[in-house]
Amino acid sequence: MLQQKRTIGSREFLILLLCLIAGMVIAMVLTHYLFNYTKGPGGRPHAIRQAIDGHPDKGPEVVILGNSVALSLDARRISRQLDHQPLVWNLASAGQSLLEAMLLETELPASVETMLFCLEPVHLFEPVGVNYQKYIAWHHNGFRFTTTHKDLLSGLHVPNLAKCLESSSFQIELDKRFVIPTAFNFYLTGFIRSDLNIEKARRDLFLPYAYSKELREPVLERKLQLFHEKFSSTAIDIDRLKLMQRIYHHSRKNGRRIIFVLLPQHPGLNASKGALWFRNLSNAVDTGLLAKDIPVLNFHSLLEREDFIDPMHFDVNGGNKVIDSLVSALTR
Amino acid sequence: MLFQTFHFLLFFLLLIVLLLVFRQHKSRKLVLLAASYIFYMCFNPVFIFLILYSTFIDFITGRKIYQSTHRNTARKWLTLSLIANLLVLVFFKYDNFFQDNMLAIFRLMGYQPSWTTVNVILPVGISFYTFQSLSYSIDIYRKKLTPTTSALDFALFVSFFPQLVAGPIVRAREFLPQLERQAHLKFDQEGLLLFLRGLFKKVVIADNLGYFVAAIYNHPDQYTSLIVWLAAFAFYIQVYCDFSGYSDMAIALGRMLGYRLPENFDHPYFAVNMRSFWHRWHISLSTWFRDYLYIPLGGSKAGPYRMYANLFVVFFISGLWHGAGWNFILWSIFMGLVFIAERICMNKRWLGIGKDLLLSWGYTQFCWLFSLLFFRNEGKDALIGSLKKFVLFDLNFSISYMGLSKILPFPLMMMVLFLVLHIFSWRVGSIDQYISQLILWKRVVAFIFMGMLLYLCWPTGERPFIYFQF
Repeated sequence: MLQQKRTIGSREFLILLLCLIAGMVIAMVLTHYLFNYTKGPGGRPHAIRQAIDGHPDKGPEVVILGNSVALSLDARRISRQLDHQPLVWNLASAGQSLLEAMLLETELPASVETMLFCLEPVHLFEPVGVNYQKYIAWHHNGFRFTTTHKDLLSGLHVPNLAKCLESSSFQIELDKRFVIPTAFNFYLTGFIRSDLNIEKARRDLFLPYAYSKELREPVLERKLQLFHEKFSSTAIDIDRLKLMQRIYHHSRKNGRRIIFVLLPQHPGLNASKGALWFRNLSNAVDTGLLAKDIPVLNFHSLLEREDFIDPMHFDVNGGNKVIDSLVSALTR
Repeated sequence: MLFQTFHFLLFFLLLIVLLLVFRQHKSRKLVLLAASYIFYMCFNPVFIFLILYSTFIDFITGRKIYQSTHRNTARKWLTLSLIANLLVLVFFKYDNFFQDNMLAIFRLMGYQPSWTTVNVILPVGISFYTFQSLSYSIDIYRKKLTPTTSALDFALFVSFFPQLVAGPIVRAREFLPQLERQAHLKFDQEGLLLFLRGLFKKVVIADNLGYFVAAIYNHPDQYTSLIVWLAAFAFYIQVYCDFSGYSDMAIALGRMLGYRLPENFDHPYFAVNMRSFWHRWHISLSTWFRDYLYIPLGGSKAGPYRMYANLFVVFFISGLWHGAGWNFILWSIFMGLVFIAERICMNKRWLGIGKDLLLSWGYTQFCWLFSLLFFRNEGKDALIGSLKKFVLFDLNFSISYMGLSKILPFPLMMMVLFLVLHIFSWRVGSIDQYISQLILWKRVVAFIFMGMLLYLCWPTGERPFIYFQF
């Protein structure tokens, strides 16, 4: 028996194996506690969570939800232009999808009466999806899909949703490690892209606009060209339409007003090959969204070329034009 | 079932428990055989019949060859073994390629064939175990090996799970004698370090680079030449770390189970000529081709022109072994021509190759890096796109182009980390040996640090080994 023990393994092996496991456990604990403080996707949900928890009594009346394009909408400007100057928050964040906005919606304070769901027109043609890593960031900050969400999503084709719903808390805890490479990329991006104010995009709840540099003309043209190639679909995604309808009716039942805002597109997309696509988009909005009684403010051709810094993002001036039209539509 | 997954850890722990319960020599081999079959069936249960078929054919033909009193009879049995094995390999590996090309030829001639093509699924590791099994029959024919009388030993030799799906290709004369003696489980620091070395190469370096490489090579025409060069360099590192990482883990697992598997890599990225490169890269395959193809063709003994022809044939077949695609054929032609040109240059002492160490190293590594463009890009458009970007450098040095600044830094750090570790490993002989010689507290710190690094840099998605497709 003693001889068998000697041949199987050494004490050294066991000690070193335990050290290895200890290293992994330390890293796991560190990841958990550092998750929100690295320059990863945890920052924005953390700031939103802190804001929600920090204003249990006097929360905002209006919130803006949407992806990085909506970051240039100045919440204070909306507030100033509305009659009773309500508190308005811009809770948009990079890559925020309709599903993420839904996750957020359940946690918003009762004070919220109006939600502005900002959508990029190109997204109307894509299925509603959720990024698993971003879901982890929301989950880490206490946002969960509830049974109401599951009901709203039932029968719809939603890529990645199953992974989000089926992953156990332990699996999610393990998968949080993605934040380290992401944070590393963000830190180095900070050196390469000094014009990007990532901290502002994470923390600011009024005007989280992070960009300050326009793309050079040849690069912009190339990116516009790629947009044409990428978004060739002409049919509005039927599941997305159904979901928007369901969100709208669900919120109305809960006494909240939802307005979908179709954000402006770069006019360059209306050139050459994009022209047909642009026409199809207008048709899709008319025959899809409006025909289904979904309240949509369609600003997709509102802005000029000079209002954009790249094929997707408009600057604060462009954002102000959107706000002016938005408020005028809201108060009409 | 991949070595780096939780499922494999459970599988391996269960296997160890069973091996501790069944201590008799024969029962342990039975447990190992069953485990190997289960391991293979996890990829696709149906293909276990292919392993059983190969095992049956070569076990029988091996005995028949040995028992044949006449050389002609032995040759007939050997031919049967070769045909039976290679037919299966050719069918599963090249049928899709053959069908696609036949269709293309017919269409080119203006015909529209009405037959429907059948998509044949490639069984994982088929090239590896077929070659391993074939070497057994050939060695018996050459009287270098006596056939085993134990079907169990032979079945385990063909299907031993650590090296079943991606090598190293083990020779029967190395492995069968090990099966005759009682194997002892051996969990020591060396085995652990070797496994960790492989795991680190695979999950920390190769998999992290894999995301970047895939992003670029999916649409090479959308990126600048600088990025395509970076992706080529990233793949140069990825393919080495992926494959040698697998080999390290396979050797370590074999060692833990009490069996010695041959080394498959020996710092190929320090090779200063292509000949030396192939002595250091996928050693078990290179030596297989040398012993079972190059030398039987006449090797270098039949004059220079015959030698060049032999080299070309070997590389051509090696390309086909790697995969059924025009990219692999082009890869093999390129490698064959480079190899022949190198031989000529070295013989004639041209261009300083073989004399100037730095130049020789640079040329060797560049040729390999360039050849990997063929290796990586299976689609025609991707191959032409990446070759165009690689060769016709566009002088666009914008890193933030196409939003790459968000995904580039971490893979870049992985490349630097690889270079540092690889040079260090070369300087000290081997990193695991270096660590194992540290005093205990330093090793404790090193292992804790390794655990942290592995955890933090382990990508969340699973990526199979590149060589599984061969």
